[in-house]
Amino acid sequence: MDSRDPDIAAGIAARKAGRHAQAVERFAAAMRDGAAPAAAACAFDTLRELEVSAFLVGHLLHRLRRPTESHRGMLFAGDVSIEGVQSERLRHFAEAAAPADGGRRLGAWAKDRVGGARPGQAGIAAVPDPAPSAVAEAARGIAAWRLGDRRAASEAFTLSLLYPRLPAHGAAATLRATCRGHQLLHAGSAFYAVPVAVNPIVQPHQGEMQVMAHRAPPALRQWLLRLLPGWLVGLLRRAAYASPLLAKKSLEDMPHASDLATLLRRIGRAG
Amino acid sequence: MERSAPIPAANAGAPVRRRLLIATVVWGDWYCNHYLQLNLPSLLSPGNLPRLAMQHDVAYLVMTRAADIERLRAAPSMQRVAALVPVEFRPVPEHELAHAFNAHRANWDRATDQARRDGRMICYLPPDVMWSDGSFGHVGELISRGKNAIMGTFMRVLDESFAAEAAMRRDAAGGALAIAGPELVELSLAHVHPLMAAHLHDSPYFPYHPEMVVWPVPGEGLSVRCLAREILLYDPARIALTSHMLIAGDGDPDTWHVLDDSDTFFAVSLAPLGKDIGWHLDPVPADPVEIATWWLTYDSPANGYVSSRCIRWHFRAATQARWQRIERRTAPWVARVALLREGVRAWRALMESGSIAAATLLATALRTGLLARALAKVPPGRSALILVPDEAALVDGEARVRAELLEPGTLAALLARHVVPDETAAARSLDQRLAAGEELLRCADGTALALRRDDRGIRIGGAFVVGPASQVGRHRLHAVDTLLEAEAI
Repeated sequence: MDSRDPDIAAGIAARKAGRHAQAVERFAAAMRDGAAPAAAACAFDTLRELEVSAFLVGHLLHRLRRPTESHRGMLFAGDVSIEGVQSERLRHFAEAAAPADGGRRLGAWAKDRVGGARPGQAGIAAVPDPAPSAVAEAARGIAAWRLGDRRAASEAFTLSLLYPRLPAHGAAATLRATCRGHQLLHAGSAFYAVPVAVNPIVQPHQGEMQVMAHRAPPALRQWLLRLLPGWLVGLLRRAAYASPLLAKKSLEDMPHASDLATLLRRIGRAG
Repeated sequence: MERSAPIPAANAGAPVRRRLLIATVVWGDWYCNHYLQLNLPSLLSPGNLPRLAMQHDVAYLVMTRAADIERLRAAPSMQRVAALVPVEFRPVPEHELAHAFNAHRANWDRATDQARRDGRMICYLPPDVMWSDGSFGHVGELISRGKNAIMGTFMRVLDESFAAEAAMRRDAAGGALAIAGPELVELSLAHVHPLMAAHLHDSPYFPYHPEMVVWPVPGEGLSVRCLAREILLYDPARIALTSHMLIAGDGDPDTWHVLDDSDTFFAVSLAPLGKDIGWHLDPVPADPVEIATWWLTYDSPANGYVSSRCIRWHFRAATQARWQRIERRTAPWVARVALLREGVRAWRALMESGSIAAATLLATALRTGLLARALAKVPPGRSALILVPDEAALVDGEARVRAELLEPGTLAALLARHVVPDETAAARSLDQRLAAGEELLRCADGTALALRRDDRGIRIGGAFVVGPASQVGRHRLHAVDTLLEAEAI
């Protein structure tokens, strides 16, 4: 996202203030003025927020038996459509991929994916998501259970309680349980167990995942985070990460396994 | 399903005049504008601060950035507040205001310390909330009658359009903004925020922060269940709060109150479109297990009480039969999620203790509804003694959960046999039961297991207890050396 473009910057500010219609107009202006890929992405996200919001409010009012027009909070009569912005985005996706081998194929894939992200479409939940999440594992477990594959179901159900509700964006997903004093993590294609006692922070560093032992007790950290200004927290954090005094280890040095059951058995034996 | 009893009339005892500190943290144009244009004018409506100031000894603390003090002090609405109650302005360091939640938390903590020292109750008054006329008079009556903790939830509305329309209703002479509950509910629905709509129980975009669940009552309003609620007003000398500002420790629910009828208390929270939209932008419907997991993060001994209250936000007189029909439907829903929450709590304890096979069986029961089936005969809210068979009894030669235990009927029966509900608030230990002369443990499936102590230790049916119990919430987990069989009774 190119926030140096004045229209995009103004659009982002308007969106933050909840003036989505105004934001879309600015993003549309940026699209016309040559900042098309970034502006189209911003316009799409903004329009999608508007569509989901309008859908939800309409759903509530319908259930209350009140006319949709009785809502006076989200008037949007702009001439920029989500379909138009989506076409623009797809064109850029396709252009970006064209020199390789799959511009058209990428376009078709992206259309399916983005096209599914519309409110009220029943097929959305069925779009498979390769990233692990509670939602995906619960669905996998239910499917296996209905097919009578109890063991596969039970494994998926366990993972559904462990994974974050939706796919995590960070380098490592912190699982939602501990085992024998170990915090469980999922990074790449493996599961790891890091002692809770070290109050671990996992950060990518020089091409590998590092585990850093946090020495300050959680209560002290919370207190400092509340009192100190954000810039100082950032500065202190960078200084702490660079400090040779902070115990750092590669994540690969921690107990790990490609499947959770093996890792849990390993921790169990060690415990 | 519970609704608050009407407040007794004055002849039920002389109302107590209490000391109260109201605290507001406010800074910057967005907060200050809404505070001066909506919050204070609505607080000045006859049934709010003027009434509260007659009922109780009220002081007001405004914490703000130094640069905003004069602007706030000079505002006509603030001058009217100062004519009713003493107002103190206190500057807040600029760096504390970078993060809204932290700014509120740190400064409310300081105000709470001050209230505790001065023997006052504390009321956290957010600057971006507008109140219906009569709300604080009602709160005043409640604390007169001995309530020590009051929890109220707010309907979220779109700030700009709502503020423009609400401000037109200000009294030109005095500047007060007096809107009664039903009228304010009506106005709020015309500007309702999408996040509010996302909390509908059947919303296809259910939020991952489900602090409340909403059921529509067609033509009349919204029936609301709060799962956890931050406190509006409380006595800090008697009540402590968790880090999430929920009631901590044991307390007397008779002295707590959830504001549950918009006729007597209604408030709207202003927010721009897009605020917290990340909570509900993914097309994921309400998942009771996920809600239960979230609920554990916001754990509080008061959550059972809070979630038992049926809150009514209505723009028309409530047709009792219609609301009660819906409230009867919501009660089992809440009970089911509460059971799942306790299940997730036990599952986490099993994982931590390394009882992986037992945890796998419980995860399966949680996700398939078998836990509710297994414990169908147990009244909601009971504490329990949970008997956890040794891993060796649950796994096969390849250290995997025995396949036959995963069959639905077997799994439900297994769970019901290994849970012993208790009638006490916190499950009693086996030593306590033996000391009381108990010789039988009544399982969730209704069967009884013999409890006795012999040379090898404590025996339950045909199994021996292994090691000490662990406390898990209100429950106790005990390891036993084998599966409990029916014939061992």
